[in-house]
Amino acid sequence: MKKTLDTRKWVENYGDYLFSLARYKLNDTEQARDLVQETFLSAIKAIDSFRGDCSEKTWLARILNNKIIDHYRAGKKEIPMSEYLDNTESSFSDHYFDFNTPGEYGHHKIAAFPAISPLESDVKIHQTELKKVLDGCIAKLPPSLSQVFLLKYISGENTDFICKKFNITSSNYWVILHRAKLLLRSCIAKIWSL
Amino acid sequence: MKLMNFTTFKKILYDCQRAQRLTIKKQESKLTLSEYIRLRIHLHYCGVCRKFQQFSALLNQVFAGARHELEERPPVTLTNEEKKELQRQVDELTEDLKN
Repeated sequence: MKKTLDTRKWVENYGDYLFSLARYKLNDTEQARDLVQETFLSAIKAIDSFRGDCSEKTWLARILNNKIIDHYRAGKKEIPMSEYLDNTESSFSDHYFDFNTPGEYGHHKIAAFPAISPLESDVKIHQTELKKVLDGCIAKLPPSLSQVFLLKYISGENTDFICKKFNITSSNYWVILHRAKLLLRSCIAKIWSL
Repeated sequence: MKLMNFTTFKKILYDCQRAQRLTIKKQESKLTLSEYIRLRIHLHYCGVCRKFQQFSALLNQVFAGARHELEERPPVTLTNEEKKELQRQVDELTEDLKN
């Protein structure tokens, strides 16, 4: 059965959410406003492709996400995600884990895992404070990693959707999340040790 | 009965990268039985990976909260003027496409 969408309340219902989502991902208010406008207009043109397998809100957010990804890609030569992971595998792993000393088999390098005292003490730090620090750290992630990270954690997309979108296996996906989290951990440790 | 040889056991104890990737997988989906056992053994002996597991879970929690906030209370909003204009464009295009 085909679902018909009522566009008369779109802006009121979804405008602020899409605007906030775009603003968060792009860090640019003007650009965010423009992409929200483009999102609504493209959605109307593509309204026949809405199959009702997700909510209207999710569908609009996906269109917006595609626009954000296109915005990042504009003018850049794109490397497939799996190739990016292969190319950076050893330099990344070697920073955190010891695969070169015989008998270490990927044991952690102590220096790469400094304690983060505010997180590891009994004193609970406020999550909003941590989130603020994290936002700064996410902005510093390599774009390949942050795209995936934000799709999962801010858009709330599931594993299948993300793997299809970037044409990667689920193992690639765990590796991406692991790398992103390692980098975030290092970033937080650096900030909180100052 | 010999369950596993020494080198295999040592790899389980030492390979933190593998253990942490399994931690991520466990938090997002399901481990196979052998992965589960491997991870349990590793975490029993490795404090650094236990800390990483906690950190990873904390991130999941913080972002689940943040996502909820973003949906329920969008931190930035369009002005009423902007909304009116945008909805006007939406209505106009919807009408155009009907005809």
